[in-house]
Amino acid sequence: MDLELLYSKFYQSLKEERYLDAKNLIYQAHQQGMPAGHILVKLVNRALDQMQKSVQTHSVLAVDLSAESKKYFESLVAADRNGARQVVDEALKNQISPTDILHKILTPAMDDIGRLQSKEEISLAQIYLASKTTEEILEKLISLMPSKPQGIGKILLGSAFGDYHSMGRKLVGAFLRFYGFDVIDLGMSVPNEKFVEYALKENVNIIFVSALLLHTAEHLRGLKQMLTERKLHHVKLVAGGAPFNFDKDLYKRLGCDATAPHGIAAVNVAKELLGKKL
Amino acid sequence: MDSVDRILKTLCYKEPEMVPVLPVLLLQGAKELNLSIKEYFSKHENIIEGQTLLLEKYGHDGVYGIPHVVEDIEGFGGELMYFESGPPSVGKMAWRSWSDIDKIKTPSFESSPTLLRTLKTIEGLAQRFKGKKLIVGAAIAPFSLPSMLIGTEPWFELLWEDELIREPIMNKVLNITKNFCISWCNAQLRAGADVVVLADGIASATCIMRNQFERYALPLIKETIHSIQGTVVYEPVGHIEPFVDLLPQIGASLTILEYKDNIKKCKEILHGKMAVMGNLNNIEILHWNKETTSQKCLDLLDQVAPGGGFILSTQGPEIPWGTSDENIHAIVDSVKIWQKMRNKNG
Repeated sequence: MDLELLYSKFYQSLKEERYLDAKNLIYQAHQQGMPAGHILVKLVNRALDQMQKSVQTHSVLAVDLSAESKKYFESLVAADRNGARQVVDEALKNQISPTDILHKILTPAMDDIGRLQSKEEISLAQIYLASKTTEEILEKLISLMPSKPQGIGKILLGSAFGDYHSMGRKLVGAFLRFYGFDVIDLGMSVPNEKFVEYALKENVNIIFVSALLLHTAEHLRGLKQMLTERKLHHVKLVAGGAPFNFDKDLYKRLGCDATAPHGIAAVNVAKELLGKKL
Repeated sequence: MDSVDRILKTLCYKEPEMVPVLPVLLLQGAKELNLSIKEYFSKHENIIEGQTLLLEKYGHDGVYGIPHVVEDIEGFGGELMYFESGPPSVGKMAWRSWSDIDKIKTPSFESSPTLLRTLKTIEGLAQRFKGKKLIVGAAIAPFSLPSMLIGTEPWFELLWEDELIREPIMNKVLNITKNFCISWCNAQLRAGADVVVLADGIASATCIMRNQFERYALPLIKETIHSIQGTVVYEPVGHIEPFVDLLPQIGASLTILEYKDNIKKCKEILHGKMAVMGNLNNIEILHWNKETTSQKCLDLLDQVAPGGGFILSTQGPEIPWGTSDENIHAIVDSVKIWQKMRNKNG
């Protein structure tokens, strides 16, 4: 039998803890005339070395990625933009794939940022910096991936008509994009007709409307009516912004399907409305 | 006892014969005069008349000389946008980028017809109500004003910039807004305002971290209030409970809390150093009935009115346009009901 093939089978048997098969392979090699010294060096020692290296590599990788994610999270909370970039640059230098960086470093850190935001234990300025920094890094990672990840849903985003406030909307957009949604941002003061026009043209699943002012939030009632008149029953309408945070039932009175007080809630609401696993 | 004495007594942590009540009614005068909001704000006579009618209707303790909280941007060349059923908001930013900052000087409020009109409003209200009702003026605090002049995003970006870039721009900007704020507040006090409210939304825990508050907002507000020659009310327009222990240093007499702040706890921390005002939810009030409104007020009064140091109101910045008359009546009447119950129970 070819030595490399024999070794490969032997190593696989050990790795899968099929010790009887491993023993039979040694016996077979001996029967075929391979000297005992060769068996020891070319099969047994080599396999043991390789297994040890593999264990070390895996444990280093596992420990380091969660530690790197913690470092990334701490940099975001401390508003250390350069620190966060450095964590990702180091990981790339250490041959960690962009996909692993996204899923094992950035995602757990952003999950934790979202948890802090839900408990109102982080300021708007920190959230702003965290999402801006992560969005910038995400763009870089996507450019390094062999293919762009497939979006998990299409979302139309915009500020209510007459509302010229952008920050809340942009933060929600950043979170949705980060968690894999395709987002079309129509910007500030979007007339209801434009939301409906894009919902039809782009075949979107959800419309997110942001309103900082109470009287601009009122436009959502008209938007819901227009969606119903155009038979766009499948397009869900989600409201966000200060008036909805102060009055938890306002979205229902305006006919919306849900409300999302912040970025991570927007992600969860979107997944829930689309029947995705949270 | 008239309203001004009642308020002065509560600011000193003594119990007046009745708890002062100040619903912030900035827009509602337009309804009384059957005018659009834009038309109402276009003449000082309208606001004087509107505030007078509101006072006759509800019988609360103060009048407001300022039309809304964003007018200060007109002093810098910014433009406002008006709506049919809500306060105006920023239409055009006064500043385009930080690179313009070297060319910008502190503007004088005298160059703005809007701000001069506000001074006339305050003068008119002072002629009618000085010494009887509290005359309230207001300005945007210097730390928050840049977000309305250039936008909140550029302001946040600057906060996170490297120190070498950030410090010179920030020093210059905050110096401009501080000087403007001081001169604008002093002008309102000279015109007859009894107090000026400093609205500081960006300095709240909703927006910034405690270390940023301590480093930038706190020293700035201290310096500003120190140079204002009258009584100052500090309104963070956001969550302030996490920083409330720092507020006694700033030199204001009263702070307006939002509904999420634990008002009882905040009052305990500030006891004897600064009074509290608030903190009914000014969005939920839109769908409360008068019984709910009255009960919410009575609960609040039970919690924080004993011992003085409290003015009943909603959270900032104002009572929304759509709030029913009966709910505003319920707020004002609740202090009388509560006082009767208290007197009865000894």
